[in-house]
Amino acid sequence: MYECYKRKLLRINLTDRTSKEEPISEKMIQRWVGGMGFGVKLLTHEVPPTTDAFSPDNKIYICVGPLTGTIAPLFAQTCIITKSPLTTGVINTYAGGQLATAIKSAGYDVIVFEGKADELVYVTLTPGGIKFINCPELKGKPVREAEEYVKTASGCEDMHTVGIGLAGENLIRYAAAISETRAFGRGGAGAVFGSKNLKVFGVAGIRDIKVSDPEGFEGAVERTIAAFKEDLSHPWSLLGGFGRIGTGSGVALINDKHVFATRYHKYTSFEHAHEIDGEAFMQKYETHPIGCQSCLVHCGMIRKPAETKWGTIWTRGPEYETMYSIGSLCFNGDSDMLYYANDQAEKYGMDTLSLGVNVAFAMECVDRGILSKDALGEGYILEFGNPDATVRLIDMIAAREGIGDLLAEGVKRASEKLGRGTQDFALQVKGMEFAAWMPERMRGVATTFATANRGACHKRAPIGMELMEFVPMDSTEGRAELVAHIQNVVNATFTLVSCRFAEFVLKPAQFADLLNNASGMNFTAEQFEQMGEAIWNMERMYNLAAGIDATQDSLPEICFKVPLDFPEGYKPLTHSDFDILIKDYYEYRGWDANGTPTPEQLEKLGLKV
Amino acid sequence: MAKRLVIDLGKCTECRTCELKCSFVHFQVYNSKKAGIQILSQWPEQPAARLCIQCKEPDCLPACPSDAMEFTPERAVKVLYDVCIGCASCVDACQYNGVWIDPLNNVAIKCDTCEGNYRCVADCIVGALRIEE
Repeated sequence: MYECYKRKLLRINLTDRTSKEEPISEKMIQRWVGGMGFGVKLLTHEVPPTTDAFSPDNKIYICVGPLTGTIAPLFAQTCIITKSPLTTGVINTYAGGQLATAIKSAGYDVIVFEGKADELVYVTLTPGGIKFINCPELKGKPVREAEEYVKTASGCEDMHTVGIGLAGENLIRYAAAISETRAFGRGGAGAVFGSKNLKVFGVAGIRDIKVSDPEGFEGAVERTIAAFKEDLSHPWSLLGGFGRIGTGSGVALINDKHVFATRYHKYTSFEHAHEIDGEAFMQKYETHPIGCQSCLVHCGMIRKPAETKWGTIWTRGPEYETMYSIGSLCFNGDSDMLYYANDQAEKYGMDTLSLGVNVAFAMECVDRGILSKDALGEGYILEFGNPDATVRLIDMIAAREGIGDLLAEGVKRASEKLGRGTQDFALQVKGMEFAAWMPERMRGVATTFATANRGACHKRAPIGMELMEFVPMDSTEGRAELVAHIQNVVNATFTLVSCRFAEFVLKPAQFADLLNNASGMNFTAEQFEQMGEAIWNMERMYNLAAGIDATQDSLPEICFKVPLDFPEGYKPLTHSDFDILIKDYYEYRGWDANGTPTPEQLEKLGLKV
Repeated sequence: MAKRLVIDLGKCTECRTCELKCSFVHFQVYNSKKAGIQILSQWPEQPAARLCIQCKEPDCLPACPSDAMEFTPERAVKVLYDVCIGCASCVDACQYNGVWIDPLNNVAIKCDTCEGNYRCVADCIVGALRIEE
């Protein structure tokens, strides 16, 4: 049993520069499986809910799962759990690439960073042991440069890394931790690295990764691959589009469907969408698609060095979400700027979603006469659609310079400071800036943004169902069940640790099939999904104790205004609709009218009251 | 001479499925270090690969001081893992970087062609691998 686990956790204390191994119990594996399950269970028990995210008492849990490092496709992600400086609740954030396999082949299921180093350090974990190395020379360095430095200095060519740039060091609340161009984007994990003076963590391992039933597992993998191949064989396959031109492949459809938030939600479609979509990037920049470990989708688009107005650079991406946040939301139709801004975000280590919303928020504040168009100084005009202003403001945020210092706190805190009605249009829930998609248009998205434990996040929204209109996107009917179901299932898949795209194709029974053959356990599809629900409730209880109450299951007032090009035949979101969505959702979840899980519900899920 | 494995690096997506397939076929574990093919990322350029080119007159086999290498019926050089002492003489002898050492078990690793079937080829989703007669 449990051959696919290393059954070990490594605790790394940055304060006294020590480390110790701890066993992971059978009970822990059976109950919480791995990845997000392990991380949330550990954090909610070890970090008191009122802990400041930047306190040395906060911890960073870097978790892999039972399918990590195996040949099963789409399980290459690493999960980071920490207390978010943006939402103040528990955050789970993911990045693909090769890091997860490196952690597991180093012999661990979980790496925990605790305490705070007295100066900037990088930490390496190799077959030779663990090292803590002061690195004042890396202060302010771009992530890619710092990663290369650590790999070279360690003499370890197969090391994989996660690190931060200037934004993490400067405690930008939405700083990302970056692993070889892939971002643990949402929720400010990079800033928590920064608060601990942790610049880079590098890991290299040589150990075998095993499964309990090799023959059975091969069969499960074959069935999984067949399911993906079947999906990919269709011209309509979303994953097929991702593999050909990246996640930006859907922009044209999204724009046509009028759900592409444009110019700060003033419009639902963008006249320049075709200039910044996946197709446009493929045509303009020489591209080499890459996949994560064992992935058959290969959505990562590595671009060869290209000349832009701001210099010659190469980048990976941008992703769809960046095309929205720094593109349409800011009314930017300049692909060179987006290309460059994507590189800035990687270099500084910032979540492009929150970053774009903050830039757009500043532009909206100028439009409404709350900020001066000269707020950037040096002759830049802060206005929608100005690429130079966008690039300049990103630099200012990373450096916390001028108005950048205010926006480095995120739109929730910035609007609280600015006042003058800005809170009504600050695009955030629980401090987390809006992902793409429009609550004004889609009721499932409205419900998800309002209720997600991460804040205004799209990761567990029934987007496909609504976008393809398998259910009417403007109806409240059945939405609670749809949203809760996908929240539960996706949480469960993140224990494995699955790429978010796997759920587009695989059903809970197929995830359980892989898990059971790898581990020797016996999860049914129902048990698997219920485990996801238990994690959801565990997060919820922690967030409630952290002070994130039901009043924050809300949307900013701007979501109840009607965009100028709102398509005919659809109903815009109203307050009464929204009240129904939340009421239905609480009821479906077994929560009381205050959004608190009832003792009966907690007992049903096997959680302590 | 054994049939050769050829890789089209322009197609390769660096997913390393070939590596894991190889280690699983030979050792029933997933471990890139135990794979007879190695994919190396070098962004923003396309990847590089290390693999045995199945020399007609291989330098690795005669360099082995412990008789831990032998020809398969297809005339590929195969490592006898129980005999190999991990001295890396074969690694030094190979001018094509086609053999390396598994640091966990300290044995030489190289492609033995899976009896000419190259099990990795069928699993390459983008068709970057092919067998050349």
